[in-house]
Amino acid sequence: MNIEEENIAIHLKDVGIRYGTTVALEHVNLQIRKGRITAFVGPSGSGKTSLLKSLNRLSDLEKDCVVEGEVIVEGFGDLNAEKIDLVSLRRSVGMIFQKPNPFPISIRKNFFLPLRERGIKDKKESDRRMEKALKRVGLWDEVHDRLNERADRLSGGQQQRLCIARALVLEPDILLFDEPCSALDPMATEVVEGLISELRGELTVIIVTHNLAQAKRIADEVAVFWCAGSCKNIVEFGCVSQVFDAPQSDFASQYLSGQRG
Amino acid sequence: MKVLLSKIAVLGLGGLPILVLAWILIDISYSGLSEISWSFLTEVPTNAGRSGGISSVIVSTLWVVSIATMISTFIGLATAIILSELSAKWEKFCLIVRWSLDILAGVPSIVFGLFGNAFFSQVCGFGFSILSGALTLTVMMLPFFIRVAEEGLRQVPNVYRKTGYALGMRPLSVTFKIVVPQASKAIVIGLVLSLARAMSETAALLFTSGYVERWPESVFDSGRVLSIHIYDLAMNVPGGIERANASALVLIGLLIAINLIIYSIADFWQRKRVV
Repeated sequence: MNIEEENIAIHLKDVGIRYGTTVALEHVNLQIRKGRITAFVGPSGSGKTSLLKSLNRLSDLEKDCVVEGEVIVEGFGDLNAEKIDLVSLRRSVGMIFQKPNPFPISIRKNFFLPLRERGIKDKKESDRRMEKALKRVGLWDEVHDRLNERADRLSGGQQQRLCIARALVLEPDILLFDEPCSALDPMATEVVEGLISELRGELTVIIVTHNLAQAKRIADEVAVFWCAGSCKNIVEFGCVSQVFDAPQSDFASQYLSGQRG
Repeated sequence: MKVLLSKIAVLGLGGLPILVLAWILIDISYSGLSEISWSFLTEVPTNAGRSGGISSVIVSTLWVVSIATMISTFIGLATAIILSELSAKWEKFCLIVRWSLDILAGVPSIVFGLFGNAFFSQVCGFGFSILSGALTLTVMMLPFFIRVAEEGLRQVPNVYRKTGYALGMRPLSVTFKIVVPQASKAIVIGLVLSLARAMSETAALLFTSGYVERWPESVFDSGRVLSIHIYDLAMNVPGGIERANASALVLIGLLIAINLIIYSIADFWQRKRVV
């Protein structure tokens, strides 16, 4: 798939990831479009999350994790080659985790901490930004009268929406979702999926998911990860309809049809 | 029958510490309580402690313990943070530090006293002084405090650290604004327990802070702490046992008061931090 340079948010060139001597992923070449939703699907252990974490260098926190090749993120260049300002990279490339993880402090403070770090110390300004982010995820009406209560006492779905709002408040360009609905019930999942869909056009979204139906519902493009023996890489990449309806590789067609994986 | 037996076992084992505490309190109160009066708390000891009060002793104790606590809190917390947050990068170094701390924690206090005398009193030239005593106590308190605080910091789920980094927070902010507050309970417990040990320490102070009973003029002056006063009255002063018991009661009272103060400060801070 050839995309014009200015439409690419992330460009991966021959990327490999390993933990010590164990290979998690190799020879990944991928161009992720700006403003689109890209889903990473594939069996467990095929390196989806590892690749996701390498996109904002959270991989640095993993023990013995080495990322090779070129991970080019718009505005930052190759994350592996140059001296990158990790703080601004991570503000620009946010991440939502599998389990909702608000800090066990008040809802308001969950926003103030990262905003303060970003240099926004004025309380009114922080409140304004928090309100905007909470409204965007449809949580404002539910929590506006208990902003001083602990965020970890909200329901699972509310917590995950809060985490999305907290990431959005930093105004990122790219948002990474690592199985954001796997700990949520179907109703909460629907709400979060709707939210992610609404981000289309505004942000570049990458979502790792085990739920193929979810990928089909919300993604524009899909990358199918596969591990065959020692070879772990992306076997198929393209727009949703093409990958699901007419997969080119045997692995992808068997995985997507439920025969393997 | 089984239920009854398990109830007896639970009550018996759980009640044991209560019984021991009650016994000690009753025993020292029996002869000590009658000695406690306003003048006992406000006057300086006379006649080797048989008469007068213990005001200078209380002051020396508070000096020694507060200096030791302040220094231990800073050094201890910093070391605990290094051990828990940097152990992935500095694995071997942290292992050796931990190993040394565990050995130090088991060293008898008399050895710390001798070390404190040789190093702080003589090499550093502080002589028999409140400062020498406080520094010796610091060295003694640190191993236990560091290990408890480190364990508390390690218990903080890693996901909070990752979330902090993912939100573009700097490493130091992640540590001090997220991890340390989360571990504050363990840190406070570690501090209170090591402080209690320091307050009741005799052997380490015998050779360092000295046993002059008068009011200390500065931290470089020698000062007698409560535990040494109790030891001296009970062992060396004929007819001093009632006064020793009274002093012991004051020591326990002080300990309880300090614990309450620390816990309420921690509690207040914890609530303020959440909102």
